Amino acid sequence: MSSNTSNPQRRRFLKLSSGLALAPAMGAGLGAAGMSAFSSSAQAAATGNVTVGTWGGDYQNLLESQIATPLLKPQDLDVNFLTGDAVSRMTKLRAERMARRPSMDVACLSDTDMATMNESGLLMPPGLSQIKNAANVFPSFANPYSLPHIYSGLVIVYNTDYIKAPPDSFTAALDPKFKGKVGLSDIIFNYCGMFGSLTVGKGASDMKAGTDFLRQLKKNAPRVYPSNEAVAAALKSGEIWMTCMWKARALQWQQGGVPVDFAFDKEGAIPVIFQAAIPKNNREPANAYRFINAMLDPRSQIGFAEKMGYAPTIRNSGLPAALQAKVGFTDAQVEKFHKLDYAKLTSEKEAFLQYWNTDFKVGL
Amino acid sequence: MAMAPSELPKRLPIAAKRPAGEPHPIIGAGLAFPASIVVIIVMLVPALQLFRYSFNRYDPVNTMKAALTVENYTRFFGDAYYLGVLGTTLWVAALCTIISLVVGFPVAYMLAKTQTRFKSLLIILLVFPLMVGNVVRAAGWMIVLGNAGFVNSLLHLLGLADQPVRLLYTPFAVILGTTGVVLPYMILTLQSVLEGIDLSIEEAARNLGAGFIKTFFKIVLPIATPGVAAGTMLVFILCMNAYATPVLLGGTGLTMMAPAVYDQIAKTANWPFGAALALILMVVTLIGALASNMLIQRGYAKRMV
Repeated sequence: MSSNTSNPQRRRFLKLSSGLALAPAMGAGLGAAGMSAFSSSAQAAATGNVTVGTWGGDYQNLLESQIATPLLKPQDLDVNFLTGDAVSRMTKLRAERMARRPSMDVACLSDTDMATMNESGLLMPPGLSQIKNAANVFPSFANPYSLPHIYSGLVIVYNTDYIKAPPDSFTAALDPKFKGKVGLSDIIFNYCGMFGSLTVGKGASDMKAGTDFLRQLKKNAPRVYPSNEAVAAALKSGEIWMTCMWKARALQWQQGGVPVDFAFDKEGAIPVIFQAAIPKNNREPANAYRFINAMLDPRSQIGFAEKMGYAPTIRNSGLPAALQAKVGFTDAQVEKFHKLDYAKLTSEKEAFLQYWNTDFKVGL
Repeated sequence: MAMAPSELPKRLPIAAKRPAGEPHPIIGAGLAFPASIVVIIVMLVPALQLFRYSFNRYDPVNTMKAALTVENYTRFFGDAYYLGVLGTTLWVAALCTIISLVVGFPVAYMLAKTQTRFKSLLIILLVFPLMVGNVVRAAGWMIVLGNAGFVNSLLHLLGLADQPVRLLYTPFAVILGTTGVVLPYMILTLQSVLEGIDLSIEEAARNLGAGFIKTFFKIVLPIATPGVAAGTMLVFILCMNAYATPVLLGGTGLTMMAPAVYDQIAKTANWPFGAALALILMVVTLIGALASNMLIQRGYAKRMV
């Protein structure tokens, strides 16, 4: 795991030492008031740091280019990123519960992982009065332990070269005419089970129903790919015609020339909400609030929608209509987003992985 | 501080017992001490920690609960799936090791014996793939072996196949990819040993009427046995612990131990079971490597007597 921006301590040292080097020259020309103004601004800059735990890749690049550089740098807040996969950062949060020098001021995780961190008692309930933009968050995305940043939904994604009529239910995957033509991503194994439960009308948190669906699907010889990118390659080559995937990801594939479109299951969709929270054990809570406030700034939300295909979680994003139609969901669709039973899903995840690995994937 | 003259005679008799020029044994041990501490911290402590974790109980919210249970081990040995994964890992590792030895030996021999001025260039070419990560190399194989990849396009162009032939996500792809990863290690290890063989011994054998094949099997191969043992052990260990190649090229077609460990740790944060799997992999790898080394060395001892 690495922090990929310059070392804050080194930066602080350079600022202070350059100040010290200049001090004698300034002292000759400036009065006492000038000196005191200089030293107070140097002190403010010295405290302007926040460390954000995040995924690497696109998400971190956009946090940098849409939030840190344009919105916070002018306010003299330096943002450092601690990048790593979700499980590594969750382990870090657990390990640093009592640490004297915790590494994260802001933790970015998906909704299911964030709920687990909350269940572990690691998150500080955010003081919404300190996050001005929190007033504009859609109420359906609000929770007491984190702030929603961006979201998308799990939808049916199909190859338009082979499937002309958009399927209205993922139960279409059980149709013998799609034998060997349905692919799933190993990365989102638990969501595949949840989507199975959803499409048979049992809600998104019934892994027993999801397992039963996958048992039926297995008779139709689906394929499982090791990564989302491998699913995209299989869709592009025509090896598979249908999958379930985040709408945002399907948009990226579309832009990359994969002939796909997406359809909303008549039973609804499963949301994925990328959230930000402040660990109980943190060093810069005031700066953490400033960072989260900037995450909910309409300017940065538009950037994420344009570049990453995820929809804003705030009412006042001012997203252009065309972009909203592309990345967002209609009001009727948003209403059909399922609320997830996070505690149940967490407790059943291990047993479901056992089924997925030792039964479902075997022989496919 | 200056030494008091009275202390000198006490030390001299001890020093006098050592042969001239040999340092005090405590100095040698003392010099190795810091390095030993580093080795213990870097290698032994994490392994011991894993060992302890493997007796804990899984907790979906807090990763694990302290306990002293063998349930993670009984789960492994009682589940045909995980035993199958271990079996697959062993046969894939053994096969890749044998292929890399058979394919790598002639190349190493040629490199060791060649007088060409391009020898350094050839060795650099051999080392070159090691500078690229396994994931990148696996991505390359995905492009070559995929349904719309190079091989299938060629087969289609030549009219040899109407439908794409499934090459990716098969044991074949994993064996090809893993062998490709470990081959440079085998060649470089063998080459360094073969370089040390005196050419005049081979010439003597040829002078006495032995053909190339007889010279190879009776002279070169027995002398190169330590290199074969070292290369085999190194490559076998690398194959047993392969992660990226089996995941990216094997898909559901083949599951090996390292991806199974990753699944437990990264997908459900089941550290206790993941730790048990990791320890089983570590112990089996160690036994396999030592066994292959012992077999080869025993053969070497018999031949050289």
